[in-house]
Amino acid sequence: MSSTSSIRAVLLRFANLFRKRKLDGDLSAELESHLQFHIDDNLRAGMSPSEARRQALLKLGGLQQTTENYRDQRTAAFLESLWRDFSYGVRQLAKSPGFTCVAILTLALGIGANTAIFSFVAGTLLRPFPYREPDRLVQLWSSQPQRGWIRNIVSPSDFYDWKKFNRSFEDLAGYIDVTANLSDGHGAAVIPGLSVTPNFFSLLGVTPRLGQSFRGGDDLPGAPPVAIISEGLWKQRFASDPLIVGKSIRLDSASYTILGVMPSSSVLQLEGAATAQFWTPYTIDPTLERGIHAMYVIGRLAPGIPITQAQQEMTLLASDLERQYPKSNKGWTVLAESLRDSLVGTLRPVLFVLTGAVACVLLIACVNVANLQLSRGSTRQREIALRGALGAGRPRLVRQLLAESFLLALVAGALGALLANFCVNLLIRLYFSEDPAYDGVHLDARVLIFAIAISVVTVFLSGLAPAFLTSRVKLESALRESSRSSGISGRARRIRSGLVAAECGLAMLLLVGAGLLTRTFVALNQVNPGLNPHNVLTFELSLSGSRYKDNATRVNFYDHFLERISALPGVEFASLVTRPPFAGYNGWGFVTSENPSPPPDQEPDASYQVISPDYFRVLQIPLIEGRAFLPSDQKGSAPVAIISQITARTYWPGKDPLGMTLNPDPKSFPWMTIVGIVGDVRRHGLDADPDPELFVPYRQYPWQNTPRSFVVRSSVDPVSLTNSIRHVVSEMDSEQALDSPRTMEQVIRLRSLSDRSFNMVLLGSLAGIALILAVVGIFGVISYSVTQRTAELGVRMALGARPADVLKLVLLQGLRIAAVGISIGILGSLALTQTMSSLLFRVSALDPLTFSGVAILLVAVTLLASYLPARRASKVDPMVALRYE
Amino acid sequence: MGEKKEVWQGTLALMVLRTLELLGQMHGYGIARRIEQTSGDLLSLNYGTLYPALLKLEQEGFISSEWGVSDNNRKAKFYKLTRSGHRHLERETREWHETTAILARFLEATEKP
Repeated sequence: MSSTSSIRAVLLRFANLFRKRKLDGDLSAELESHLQFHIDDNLRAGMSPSEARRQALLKLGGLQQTTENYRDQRTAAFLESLWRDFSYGVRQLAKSPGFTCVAILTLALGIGANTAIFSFVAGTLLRPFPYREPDRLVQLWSSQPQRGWIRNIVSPSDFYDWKKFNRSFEDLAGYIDVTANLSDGHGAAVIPGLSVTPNFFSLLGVTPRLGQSFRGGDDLPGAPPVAIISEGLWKQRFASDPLIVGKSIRLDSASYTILGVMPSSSVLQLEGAATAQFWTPYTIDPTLERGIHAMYVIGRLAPGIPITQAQQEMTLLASDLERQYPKSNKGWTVLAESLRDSLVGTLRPVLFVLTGAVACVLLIACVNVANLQLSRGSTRQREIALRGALGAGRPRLVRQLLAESFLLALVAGALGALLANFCVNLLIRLYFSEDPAYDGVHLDARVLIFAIAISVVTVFLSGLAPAFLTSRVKLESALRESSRSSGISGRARRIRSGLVAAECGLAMLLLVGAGLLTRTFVALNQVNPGLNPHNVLTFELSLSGSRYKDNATRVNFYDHFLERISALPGVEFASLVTRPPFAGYNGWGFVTSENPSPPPDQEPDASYQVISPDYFRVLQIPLIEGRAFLPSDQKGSAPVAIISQITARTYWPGKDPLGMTLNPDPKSFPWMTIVGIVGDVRRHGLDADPDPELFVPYRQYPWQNTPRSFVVRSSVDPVSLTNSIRHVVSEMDSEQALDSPRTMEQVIRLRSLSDRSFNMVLLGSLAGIALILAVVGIFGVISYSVTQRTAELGVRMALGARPADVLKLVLLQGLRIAAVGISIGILGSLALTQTMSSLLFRVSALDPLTFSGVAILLVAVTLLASYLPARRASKVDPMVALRYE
Repeated sequence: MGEKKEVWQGTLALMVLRTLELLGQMHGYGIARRIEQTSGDLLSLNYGTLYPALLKLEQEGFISSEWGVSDNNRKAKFYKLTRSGHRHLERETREWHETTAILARFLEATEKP
């Protein structure tokens, strides 16, 4: 047959789909005429009229079947019968609304949870690197392992030496996270940015959307100031001006020429760089001390060089520098880490746990639906046998089951997609409330399709079981058998109980995981941060512009500012501070009068906080000994310092440090006398031990780099103060702007609880879904088995069993399933919770309380799920039950 | 009719085309009877399978049909070969001969020890 004729045939068949009625008439006329010819012949051959007709019909093979065959040829029979299969499926599903609803909801939950969480994880944790050959990218850290500093930022002088002497890297680039006051006609704002070496973008392999990247000489002192801005800033502040290149932007009251616009896809996922909205060239400063670590460093490996080789070379290079500059480099080495490991490494356990949990939930949902299908199996078996007896071929039966599975899975998929969409939005609102424009998370269609496909397969396979089981049973006997005595029910019941037990086990696994994370969260919340975060507002105010180059002007501004905001209604105390608690470490070395010249790698080290006198009162940090700072501690008066308890214990062990002196750099600083000791505050997070702290009064603070953070204690909701404080700032200098106002409670949450609560909420909701599904599973199996055993229970009761005995019997059946499930769950948890130990805090991965609590919960839930069917069983009327057939 | 051979899958179309080539124009019942007679009543044709086959040939454009009146004044649907049907028949016949020739040679060869 030529291809044109077959195409023609196919087209005709499709066209005929819509001409069914007319064609049917045509066919019956033709068959009628055929019969007449044949009957005529038969009559001539001497048959009686009725015999003639009978023979003719026989030879035609039955009118109905012929018509059917003819129709198959006439139209795209597959499509037509597929449509019939679907409408049959709809009717079939509508006939058992209970089953259909539970199956659809179960699958929708599974599909929805899966899609939401995978989409979220893919959009947040697994974003692909927008860089050229990302596998050759390496993050380089300065490292002092013996002091526990593994990933420290790098000294710019070291960076230039690394860049000059290494052979393993094609190129090295450095960047420093900065902020700048952006001022234009629309008012002032503080925006984050990066100061980068000019090769930064070319090393990463990202190109600007408009304009160009930095050029070689842009970092030389005296080069005209240039900047590259982010697509976001370009849209917000410059209305997507296509002619932006060459125009100027005012950052910190200085004018920069805009070189280019970076696309938002290149939003750099580098440590410390994620939120940058502008980039300026880092200007080489030859006077900068080698000991000052300020820079992040990334490198691109030379082609063919493995990272291990680069690490070896860098270690050698670092020890050369150590010999050359013992004072600043003693103890410092280099850590080279592939960028991917550096960014994803810490997330790996989270990803592992979440992915596993999500897979478990989908598995449970599928098991549940399979179970429901099997429960329907014996009824289905008779229906299928009947359809087989009426002439449906096996492929046709399979196709019909497939259509039904598709229907279920598609409806569930649609619901699941809605659910996923809702969940993703919820998650975004929960975790990106700081950044409402965040658009990195989208429903992942691939995941959705995958989850739906899995559901189709599950529903189909479990629906197929009765069809296959039927093939072993004689059609006749299957038709005659009642559901009660169906030959497969015993085996099917065992399979179902096994499935539900497995489901319980999976649910137990998830619940244990969620329980451990919850215990971690509780433990974290019980940690004393060392301060009272309630009713405290923090914000930043960096004074920019040439006007504030002079230290005295700044101190003067801050004095006035503090005075004015302290006078605001609702404000109790206000103070400035270098870095508020939970905002990280600001470590500097110092020497003490007892030990004025320690070896460089044993120099005492503390987080320096430059503060004003009310700092301890704002945060309610207890004064242990001595005094707090006074307004009289100012320029010209005796230099004083306050230390935290840990500082005292670490560097003055067994002594009373009050009255002792210390000095950050005896060459250029006066010695400071310790006048007070205060309580410890956690600077890194609730799960990290407090670091040594050292406080100095800001009026005596002799360095250029004055603090810019503020803490305010209020008697009202601290958020309500933001506007009035903003107002004070703009009244004092309209070019300055308030940045990142947050309550102290928010800061703590952000810094140390958000990751945990993220994990806890996600895993917790997954575990909750798993539990619900397991309950549905147990309920389904028990109540189905009660229905099947009605007659047996009736006999028992007729023979004298009391309702309580029947109740016990059924409850025990549920408990047996739960017991098997709990054993599976405990074994699984023992094997798997170890992988999450890095996510836990003050809780063992084998925490007996969690394990037993979850087991008890499962038992309780099982009892509850079995109770309803059990009670129904105990109310069986023996007479009715025995007649039940 | 137990000893009669069933019509092989796929050869029915060829038989129909050949019958129409000989008879020019014929209705379904006539085609069926003619096929049985030509085979010397060795073939048993299930008449019910004829009509889907006729429809398929018509859809492929090898035959065409129209309603008409038979010799004994009965209304019937008459089929005849189209031009492409003639060509198709020629080609199919050639292929059939080739196939059977190959098969015959093959069967003879394997019978020798």
